[in-house]
Amino acid sequence: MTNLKRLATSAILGAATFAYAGTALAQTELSFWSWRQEDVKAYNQIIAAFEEQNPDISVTFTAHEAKSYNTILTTALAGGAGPDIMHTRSYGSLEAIAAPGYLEPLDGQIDLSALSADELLGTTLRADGHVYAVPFASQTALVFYNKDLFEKHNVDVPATWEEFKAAADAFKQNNVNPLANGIADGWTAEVMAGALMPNFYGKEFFGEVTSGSADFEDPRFVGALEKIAELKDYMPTGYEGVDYATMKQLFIAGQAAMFVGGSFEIPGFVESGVNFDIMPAPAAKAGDERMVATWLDGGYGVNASSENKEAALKFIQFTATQPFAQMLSDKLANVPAVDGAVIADPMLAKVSAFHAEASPYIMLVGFRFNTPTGSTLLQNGLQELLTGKKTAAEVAKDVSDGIKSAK
Amino acid sequence: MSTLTEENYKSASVRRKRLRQLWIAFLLFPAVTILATFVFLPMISAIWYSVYEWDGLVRGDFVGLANFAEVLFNPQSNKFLFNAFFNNVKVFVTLMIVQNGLALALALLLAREPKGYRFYQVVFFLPVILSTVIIGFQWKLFLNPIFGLVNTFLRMVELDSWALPWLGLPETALGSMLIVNAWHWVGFPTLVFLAAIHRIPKDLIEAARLDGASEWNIARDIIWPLMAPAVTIIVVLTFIGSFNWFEIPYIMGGLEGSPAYSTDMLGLLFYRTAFGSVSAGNSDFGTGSALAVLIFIFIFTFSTIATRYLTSREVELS
Repeated sequence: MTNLKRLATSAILGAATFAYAGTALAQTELSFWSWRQEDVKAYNQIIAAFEEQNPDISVTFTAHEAKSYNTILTTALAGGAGPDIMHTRSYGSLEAIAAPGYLEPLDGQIDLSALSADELLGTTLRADGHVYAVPFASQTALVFYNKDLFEKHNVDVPATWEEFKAAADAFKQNNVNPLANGIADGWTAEVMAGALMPNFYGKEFFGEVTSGSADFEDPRFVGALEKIAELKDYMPTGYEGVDYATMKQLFIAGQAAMFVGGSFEIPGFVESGVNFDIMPAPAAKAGDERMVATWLDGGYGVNASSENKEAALKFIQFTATQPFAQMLSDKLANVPAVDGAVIADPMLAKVSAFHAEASPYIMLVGFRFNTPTGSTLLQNGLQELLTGKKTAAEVAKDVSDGIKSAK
Repeated sequence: MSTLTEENYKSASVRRKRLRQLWIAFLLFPAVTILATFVFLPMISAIWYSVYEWDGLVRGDFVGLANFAEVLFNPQSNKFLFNAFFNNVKVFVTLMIVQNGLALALALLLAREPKGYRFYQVVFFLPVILSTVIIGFQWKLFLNPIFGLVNTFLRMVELDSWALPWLGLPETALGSMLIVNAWHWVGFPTLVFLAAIHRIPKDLIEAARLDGASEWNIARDIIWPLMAPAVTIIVVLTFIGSFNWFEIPYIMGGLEGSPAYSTDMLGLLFYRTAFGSVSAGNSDFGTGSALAVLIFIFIFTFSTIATRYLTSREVELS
């Protein structure tokens, strides 16, 4: 009898264990890597929404240090230890991991109809034409300005380059730094030039220079660089040594009237409490186009050798839908790449509206596929230009020669 | 003492000798394993990697010495190599003069045991034990053109025209970093030199002094030749350190040797080439490894020659 009882108990226990193990087996665990350390909380909320709809899948979000993310990711993928899902960068950096076959091609497996062709270009491998990631958000290079300082010193918000310089002179006379920008960190110099130059070199230049019918020694590009050189007078004293952190500090503390930067600064500036607004870079002259420079920040990709590919694709499909885009806009203050989100944040809505007149952020979109990249060439060229080491024409020649020799 | 152990050895059985050898092998094992895994293996794999073409992290075809040719002879890449190499040479020369020169002066002063010399000994050595990362960040803040301590001080004493953006100008960036490095490390050669001076028998110096030699003559003709072994060590270490210089320029100037490659070093160039960066481009293990092999060959050859030469001129104290 006791034996029978024991047998029954162990049978029940065994069945229960089996059942428990069964549910555990059904639960697919996905790892998700990113460089967005500041977004961990928001991503966990977005993931929770996904898990609610897909109770059999759980996603663990891990954010790595942004600067070394590319290295960490490529090393892990090469070693076969990559995550199931990952934040990829766009353009050249995407190709670095898509070309060796680390990423699963998504077209045909994922409905990408809510994305525009322009945006998909940022996550398409040029060699085979397949899409390897779902684009997530675009960034925009534009001009931030401190509303309080403009009001206090009775300066009109500029619309043209002449007005921009007049406004800057007015601030200078009042001992306010017209611009917060410095050039110690090369990439901030690239963003500054990237925001301001398109209105000088015009709408057609990007297409011509990427197709090869024009080069960087083109008078339009040299002319745009000459305008950037004029900024020397409006940047803070010692701007050669002003780094990214100092730039932000100057603008937030109300010590500089304008800040040329990327739309990714918006959440930080909002949080700091500085009373600011945004505008596209000034037009070359009255009546000319006022473009912003835009680029795709990155996308979500699937590891081609993931053991949980089906679940991973399910998650990636989720990132290509309107509800996801809505959360991205609401929780992360991003202008989502996926169509259909209602942008509630007024500042973000403004950025989105600027996209009506936009030009690609030239070096990232067009020239980060080979070495040396256009970004490296331009960043160092700008440092040479703005420290007076070289003229605009010399810098343009260096950039042009570098691009032509790149491989 | 030594004769005693020798006798012990002679009388000891072969078995005991074996046991001792085994014991030595056992003690050496961890060190050899670590050295093999983390030093020799990466070195050999770098040589191996350097003769292949790489697409990012995927190995392609065998290309022989093509990567070396690319690094050395392609004008678009060798201009970076020569620029970085020349900067490393500047680092070596400057550190030899400024850092080691100062260290020698400090050691000579401390050796005369002035009042409170033990306190100064500790003070000079203190920065050595701090992390380079902390020092790099701290000095980057000190040298900030607007909020930094250095320029605030210069403005306070009305030297406004001296308040330069130290790390932002191609003319001053490398110099500023070298001063930071000297501040960080000066305690180490000081200590080595001081120990070497203490090793010199006092009566030698006393005798010279009685014979009427000046302090300068004592330093030049007695102390300097007799501390040659310490000089050898410091020169070779400075040489290796200068050509491997990475942390301070990376933290204070970034991966691109900002501004405009004026602080670019062989180490930074290697890292950028092999691992890539967000703006510098994608990783290329082939040329990166070729670069690493070239750097290694250069440092190995020259430090060996330097050691040979410097050791040959050392004076033995007997």
